[in-house]
Amino acid sequence: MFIGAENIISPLGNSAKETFLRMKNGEGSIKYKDGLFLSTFSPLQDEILPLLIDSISDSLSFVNETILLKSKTLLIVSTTKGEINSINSHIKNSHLSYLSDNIKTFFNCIDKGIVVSTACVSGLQSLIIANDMINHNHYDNVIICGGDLASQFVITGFKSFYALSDAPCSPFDKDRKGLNIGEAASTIIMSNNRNLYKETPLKFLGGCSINDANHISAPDREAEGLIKSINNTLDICNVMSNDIDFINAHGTATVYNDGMEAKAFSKLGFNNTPVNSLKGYFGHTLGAAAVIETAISLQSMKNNLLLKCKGFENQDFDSKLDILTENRDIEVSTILKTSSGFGGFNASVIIQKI
Amino acid sequence: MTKTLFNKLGNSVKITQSSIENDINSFLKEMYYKLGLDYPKFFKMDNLCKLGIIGTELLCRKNKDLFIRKDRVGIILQNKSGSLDSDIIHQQGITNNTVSPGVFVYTLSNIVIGEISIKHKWQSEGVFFIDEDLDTKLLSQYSNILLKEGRTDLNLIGWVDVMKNQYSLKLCVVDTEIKDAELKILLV
Repeated sequence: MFIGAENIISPLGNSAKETFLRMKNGEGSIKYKDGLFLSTFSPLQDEILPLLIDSISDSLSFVNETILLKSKTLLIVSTTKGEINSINSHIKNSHLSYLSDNIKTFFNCIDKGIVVSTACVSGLQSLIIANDMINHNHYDNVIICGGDLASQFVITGFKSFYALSDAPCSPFDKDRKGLNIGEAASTIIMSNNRNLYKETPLKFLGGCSINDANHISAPDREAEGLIKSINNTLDICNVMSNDIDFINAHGTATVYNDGMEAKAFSKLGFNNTPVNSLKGYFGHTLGAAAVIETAISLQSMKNNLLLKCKGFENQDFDSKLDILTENRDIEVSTILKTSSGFGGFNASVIIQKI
Repeated sequence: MTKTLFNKLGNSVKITQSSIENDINSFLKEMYYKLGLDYPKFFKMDNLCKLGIIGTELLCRKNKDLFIRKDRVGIILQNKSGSLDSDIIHQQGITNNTVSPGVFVYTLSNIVIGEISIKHKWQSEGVFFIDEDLDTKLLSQYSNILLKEGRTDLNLIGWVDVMKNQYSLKLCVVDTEIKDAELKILLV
């Protein structure tokens, strides 16, 4: 299974390369605004659909159109709240299938569009489902597109949870105080045909998502779900834990989430594996999060450059992890990406160089 | 009229309602007591989760022997309205300055999978799809993938949708590969 043609539309840029370059230089987009730290587009965006369309258009410029049109292509939209800003004025548009329907109509290469909505894990689950659908011969290619806006709806909600930090977030840091909401659209294309890609793609080995059946909004302190998910993924992919060169974690910078993840990584023996979270650059982008973070991780693999965990300074946990305090030039061949979210969902995937 | 039906295979359950006389709150409460559920958490849930819990309970009671391996039950659900029923309440909270985390947490459609997993202690795969209509082809495709790859032993599949007083639930449990047409018979 091949993976590539990534795009990112974020406050840091309109392509994956541009966004990666700015992050490499240490730039982030989290700014103080109306008493909060947020990563938002300027000018403000009221709708996510045009951003998703721009994101997919850019991704499509990295694939061979003739091959795409000759084969069967599925669209997976990964979102938590879609056009939530329309809830008062045009509630029809707030139905999440409004996005998949409109995108499918816009692009003639898409045979079917579906929506996956499983909170912050939506993006990683979309990649897993894409892999499954192609492996089982239902489709040849899948366009995975994640997007969410930093809406008042979401900001007020997280605020009521006391989950928002009053400073730029600091994932895995001893003094982390919570998350910053961000917004973005990001696209990745998976395919069974290597020739679809104009640039060398990477290999998607597999993944799985496990519910921890513990609590709908609190991470499991024992990290059972995440551990099980990573163990299953290693098993499915036939990869040993010491083959993992790098972990791109979820790392929201809330006290409990990062504590849970650190526990999982330690228990699984990943203490010497470089880890980062990218939330310190562009905040928590919800349904887009795992897509944009995977897109950046693909860039890291292509450039053999791991990005520092922006915002992280001091270790917190009993068992120390190799959390990246500086960018690191290193040959990376196999990576693990994880996500955890509300509803007790924990997902993980493994990606490898060809 | 509200109706609860079991098909002859005993492995599907359908609840639909569209009249205004029997409002969803009293229906769900009535079902809770009728089933003798002793689960106070139920009353904290939004209606989408309550409906999912009731439907799953009915299905479990019909298929006791199926639900033995708790780490091997997959949940594949779909609906049209996502969490809009709770979204509207949270949005009103923003307008009235009465935002509550207890409402906000339900503004994600997959929470119903979380609630079902917690209630039955199922630690396994789960996914929530959204579409205008029930897509038995997609649901059967994904259920077959999980079973074929041995990632689950049985799957709870179906539709659970709530929008104010309109609600509909169509659930079934399968432990072998199922064709689109067969799933249609069970769910439509």
